[in-house]
Amino acid sequence: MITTLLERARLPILALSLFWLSGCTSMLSQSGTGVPVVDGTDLPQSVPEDVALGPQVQPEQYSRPGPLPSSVNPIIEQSLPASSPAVIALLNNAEKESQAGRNDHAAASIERALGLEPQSALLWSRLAAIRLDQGNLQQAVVLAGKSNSLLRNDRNLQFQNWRIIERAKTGMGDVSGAAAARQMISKLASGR
Amino acid sequence: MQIVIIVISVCSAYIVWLDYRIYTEFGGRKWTIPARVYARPQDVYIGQIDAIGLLDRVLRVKNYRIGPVLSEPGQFRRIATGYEIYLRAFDYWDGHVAADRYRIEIDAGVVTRITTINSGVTVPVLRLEPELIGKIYPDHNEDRTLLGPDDVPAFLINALIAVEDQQFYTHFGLDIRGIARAFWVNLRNVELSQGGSTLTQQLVKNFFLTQERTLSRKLNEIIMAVLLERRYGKDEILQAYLNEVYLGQNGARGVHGFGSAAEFYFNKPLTELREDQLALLAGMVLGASVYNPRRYPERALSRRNLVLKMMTDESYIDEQTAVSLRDRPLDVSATPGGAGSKYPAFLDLARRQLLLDYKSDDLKNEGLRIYTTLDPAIQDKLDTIIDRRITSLEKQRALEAGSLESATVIVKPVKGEVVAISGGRQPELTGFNHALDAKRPIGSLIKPFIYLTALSDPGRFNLLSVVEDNAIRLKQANGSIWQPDNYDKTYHGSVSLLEAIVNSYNLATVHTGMQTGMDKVINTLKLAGVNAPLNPYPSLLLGAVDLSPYEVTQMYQTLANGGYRVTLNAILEVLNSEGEPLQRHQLDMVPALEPEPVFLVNYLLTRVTDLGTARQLSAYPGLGMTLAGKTGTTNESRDSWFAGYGDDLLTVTWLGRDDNRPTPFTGASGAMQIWAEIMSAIPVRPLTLSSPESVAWTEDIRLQFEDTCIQMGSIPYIGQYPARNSLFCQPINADKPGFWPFR
Repeated sequence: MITTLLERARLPILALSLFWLSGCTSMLSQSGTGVPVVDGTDLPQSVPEDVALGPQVQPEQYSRPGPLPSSVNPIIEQSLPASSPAVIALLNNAEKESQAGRNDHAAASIERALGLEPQSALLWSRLAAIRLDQGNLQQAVVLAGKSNSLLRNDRNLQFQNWRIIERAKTGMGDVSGAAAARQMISKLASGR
Repeated sequence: MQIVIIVISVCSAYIVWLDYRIYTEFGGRKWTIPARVYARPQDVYIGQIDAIGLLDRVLRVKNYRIGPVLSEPGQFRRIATGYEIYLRAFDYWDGHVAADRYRIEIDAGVVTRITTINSGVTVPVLRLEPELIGKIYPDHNEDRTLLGPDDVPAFLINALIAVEDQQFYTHFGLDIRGIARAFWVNLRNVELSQGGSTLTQQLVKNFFLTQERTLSRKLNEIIMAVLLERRYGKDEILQAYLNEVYLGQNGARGVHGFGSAAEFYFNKPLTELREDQLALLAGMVLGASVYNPRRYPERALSRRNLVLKMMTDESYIDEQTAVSLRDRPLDVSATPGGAGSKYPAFLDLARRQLLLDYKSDDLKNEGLRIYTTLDPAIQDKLDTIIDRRITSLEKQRALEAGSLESATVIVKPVKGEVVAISGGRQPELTGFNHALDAKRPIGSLIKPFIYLTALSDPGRFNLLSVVEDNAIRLKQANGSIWQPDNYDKTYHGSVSLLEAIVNSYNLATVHTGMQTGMDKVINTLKLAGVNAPLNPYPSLLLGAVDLSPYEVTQMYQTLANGGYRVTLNAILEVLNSEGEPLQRHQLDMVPALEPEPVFLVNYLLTRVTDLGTARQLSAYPGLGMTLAGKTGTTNESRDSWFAGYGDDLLTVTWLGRDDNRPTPFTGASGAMQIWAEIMSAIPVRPLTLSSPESVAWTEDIRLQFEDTCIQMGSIPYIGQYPARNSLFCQPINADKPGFWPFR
């Protein structure tokens, strides 16, 4: 099981996260204007309630540990809050830019989204993945750590973050750091 | 004969030299273009709450005008469900965005839909063109907005040719008939004065020669005009003319070229001017100060109408068009556009940061486009509130008017972006920037970092640990005895660490700091981003270190961002004059402090605003939410500080006197009042206290707090469950006695 997981790329996992986030079946991005757009028919019809952008919206004051699932499938287990259509569009745009090899544009799109949702662990994780692609290994480790510091019980995203850390540490030649990351990965994968 | 040969060869040599000057100076010409500094491009997005204010502001500041049909960029109209806007094209760092029409639908203040009008495609996030907030000018103080061939309306060229040089496209640099006619006209009629110089001559005069009226200068002008025409085409000469010609004076700065004149007089790009407005600018070439439409509107109006008449005479427009254009008012913008530097304190910061990466000359001359992190709506609110609130504080305490000074820094803590800065109570004064340069003792603002140091050792300290708040005598480095006191001059005995910070007890803090060790405290401060020298004396534990509000903001940024330090920055992107990206600021984080103890401190600071020295905050409209905050007061109230944050914004305010004399204010009664007024005027999000995985929470507990038992709720901790101690009151649920898992 672990090996199958390890073989999976980051992108399909992220795509799946997006699928979960948006609750829609497909999302199309159109290029050309520099403004990320998604097809109108596929947009969620209502704005999610937790688009916390002003003083009116109060999130839960102190989050406490929820019950731990007895067995965790890192792919399916998902406890991220739904993001706003704007953030989803910017994530999508980043994905498109990243696939086109324009990682600096992808990073800029994620940073724009972070302006809207600064506490989104998914966005920090995505930025970490882009930094890894850019070869900025040190920032990849830092940002994946930042993502983890905002997470509780999200095995899927923790798994992704530790994968990023493991790859970055390996790239840095930090053998013990990479080994420690691998340990975390197998721990998360086995749901212990 | 020899003399003739000598004269001819000297003349030839002179002409060759002039030609060489033209070749090198004109051929190699580089316009000096000031750097243009922009605010951050603002996003309108689906789900946005404060979009109406943002849109109204951008439409006003960028001079969008109401149009019943959106026929060209720069127009908008209000519809029942929101707005329709024809956004102008703009060069962003990540590419050129073409002009397009958008419909923004807003329901009950919330953006519900954004679509392009032409294709109906949904745009979840729409970027609005940023406001120009200032320029960095060349030393010779010329303002110029460079025009390319496509930026110049044909009407303007026609007007110029009709009024200045009717033979422009056919002459060789001089217009003999024109000179004769001008001579004749000037003789008969002073009002219709014509220069007689061709556009080429005028360009030569402006570009190469002094403004003195001598025969030799006139001779040079004529020779060089002919030489210029021999070397360069009409279009190139015209383009240079359009960018070079002097069209007015903005204070100490000359307004050069039609691009900056359009901004200066009409606050719009040249392409958006009406035909009558273009005619006015063409008419002003003759004398920019004589026909200044702001100072002499009637003179300017008749000059414009004369231009229109001459255009009719030359058949560029028909009589009917001329009549309708003559009826138009001047419509000069109320305030000069384009040049504004409304935000000197922020621009000061931006300039300092740019000088780390760019040479001063490049900043002034190369036409760089600089996108900053400034949020002008927040900055405007800050500027209006500061002076008003300080004035009312002075009145409240019967202080001499003008005796107090203040500074505020607002940043986005996660990205380290500076959103707004107040450098003093009068924003327009460019003198001393208190936010960056006023270094003051920080007092109790240091305390969270003392407790952070302690809580980083969870085996020894947790939020419920008992610390002693009683007398302490310590030897300073110079041998003197330091005997600090509490603000209320009383000892509180055994208190929880939570109570010690929530009520900002000095003695408990000193005891805690001495237990953790000065070296560890200093290390924490350095990791948080303090670069100032730190003396390892015990008085440091009560904030005996001089920092500017900006430096304090850096320190608190690290806390507000969960221990991740990001160097504060004001510059997002820099583009060259062609719109090509030179530099983009990349988010760079340093994992400086452990997220778990930082979380405990963030939690503590939310209790400060809930139960402690900052509890008055929630009385302010819009601030009844979870916010972290800390008050700071120095000896004899010379400095009043407040630092506070939610998820999105961190704001630090200082209040004091320039002569460093005492004030009657504590952190809570002074700086916090200003802070609260600012924060209730801008959209603030609460602090999301999502604890890292390795932070656990206790059962609900009751704790002795200020001599009574109060319900504290669940308290976060790291590692071992907090050991029960004398400050724990009876469990609230008597049915479940002894549920504390003692270990």
